[in-house]
Amino acid sequence: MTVTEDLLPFRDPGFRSDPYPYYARLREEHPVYKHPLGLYVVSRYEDVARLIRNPTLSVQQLDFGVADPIHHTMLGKDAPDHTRLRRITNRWFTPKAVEEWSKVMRASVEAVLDEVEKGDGTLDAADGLALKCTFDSICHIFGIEPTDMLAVQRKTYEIGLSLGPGGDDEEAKGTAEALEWFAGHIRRLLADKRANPGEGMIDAFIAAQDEGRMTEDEVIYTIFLFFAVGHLDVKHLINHGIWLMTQRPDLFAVYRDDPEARPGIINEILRIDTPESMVVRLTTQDTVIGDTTVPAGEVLALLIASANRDPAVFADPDTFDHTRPVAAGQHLAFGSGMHGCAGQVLARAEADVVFTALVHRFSGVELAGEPAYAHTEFLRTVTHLPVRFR
Amino acid sequence: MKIEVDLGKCQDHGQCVYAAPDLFALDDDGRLTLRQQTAGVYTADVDDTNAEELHEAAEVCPLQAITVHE
Ligand code: HEM
Ligand code: SF4
Repeated sequence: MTVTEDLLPFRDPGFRSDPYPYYARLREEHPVYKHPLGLYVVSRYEDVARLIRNPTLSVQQLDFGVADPIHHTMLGKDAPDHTRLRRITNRWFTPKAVEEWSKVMRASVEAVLDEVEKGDGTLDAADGLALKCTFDSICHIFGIEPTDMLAVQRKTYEIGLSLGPGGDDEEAKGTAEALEWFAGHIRRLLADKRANPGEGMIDAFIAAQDEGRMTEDEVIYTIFLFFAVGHLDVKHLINHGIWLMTQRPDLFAVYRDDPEARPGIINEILRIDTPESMVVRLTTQDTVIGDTTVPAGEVLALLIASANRDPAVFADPDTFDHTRPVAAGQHLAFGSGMHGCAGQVLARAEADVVFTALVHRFSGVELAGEPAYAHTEFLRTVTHLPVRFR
Repeated sequence: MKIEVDLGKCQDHGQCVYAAPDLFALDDDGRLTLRQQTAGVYTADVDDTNAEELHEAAEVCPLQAITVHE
């Protein structure tokens, strides 16, 4: 079927600020939509959930353009390299390890809130809380001091800009420069670490390199990957949760009074405002999706944010309801299958540390200004979230 | 020793497959093969020689779906 109109205008500001009506139309009318840019867009839960676990799809063979160095990380590798890298990092993010990291997160959050309480109760939660505390935590995991936070955030964003479909030359240049900045920054960190060894994740990567289990490029870009994922999506989860509490005082109270409701609230925030809107794969053989057979060598965009609003799985999908039965369907905000998020236990714990600290210390939260956003086609981000705690 | 895998919690991340390939596998759809046997809690007796692998699997499972009983 030919559709001339662009049903998924990735670069349209209206689409970026609220893509959900576009997703709804795709799910209903074109569940496998051949985008004018050439990629196949999959939007229904059932199809996305099946394909995201399909072991014949490749990420290694995807063309990342100027972001090609990401192929040195697990995010850009298929088995067996993917398995090797994932096994090296997994032990840093087990539930037991995360208990330790949560203590660091908690100390960082409490320090920020002490200052808020001493001041006038206002805070830009985006940089001042969500970014700062997640950055402190990932640096602790690395075994380094938390320096260059704002540069890391800005460079990560510049890399993200050209990752989406249809980027322009200007953005590609920004991405290349940002990756170079990271490589330089990380080489300095590694030199410093070799001179002053410790017991962090970076030390473990250095040991793995010396034992021949990781290449130097893999070490450098895996550290970049964790700098990025250490703050990027989890920041959105925290910001969106705080924003929701400004809109719905009842949620603030439920979070405080009903600890058993907390995991459901975090899951529902992830479902209703999924930070990462899609994951991308390459077909390596004929792949049947509903009525469509996609040949080998084609790019699939699996819209996890759309799947998470599919009414076939989530009744009344545009309504926030943290009491949804889990059995009806798991949201796909963390992906699933072999590339399923390696940091999901940490991400949930970090968000819980923030929300729990807030509801225990304050009696409510309200907006102290307009929030600002900088969505790209992949990622939803809040750049400013001025709030006042009472 | 005994093992329990709660397939209600499991999201087919396959981390257990990396850790204990003798005990866990993913099928062609990328789902844990144990699902073919039950949708609830899978239980089985496991030989002690697999203890180390099994403990690693239980530890890395992001959903903490695997429990080991000595
Ligand atoms: C709310 C927060 C987060 C969300 C929504 C999220 C989402 C995702 C998604 C959707 C993927 C799959 C990508 C794909 O299939 O191509 C992924 C992969 C990954 N995530 Fe997260 N993530 C979050 C937080 C974190 C944190 C805090 C860390 C670690 C510090 C982390 C580490 C990773 C890694 C290493 C991968 C690559 C896994 C692989 O390719 O095997 N994530 N994440
Ligand atoms: S590691 Fe846990 S979630 Fe992943 S497949 Fe195994 S049991 Fe399921």
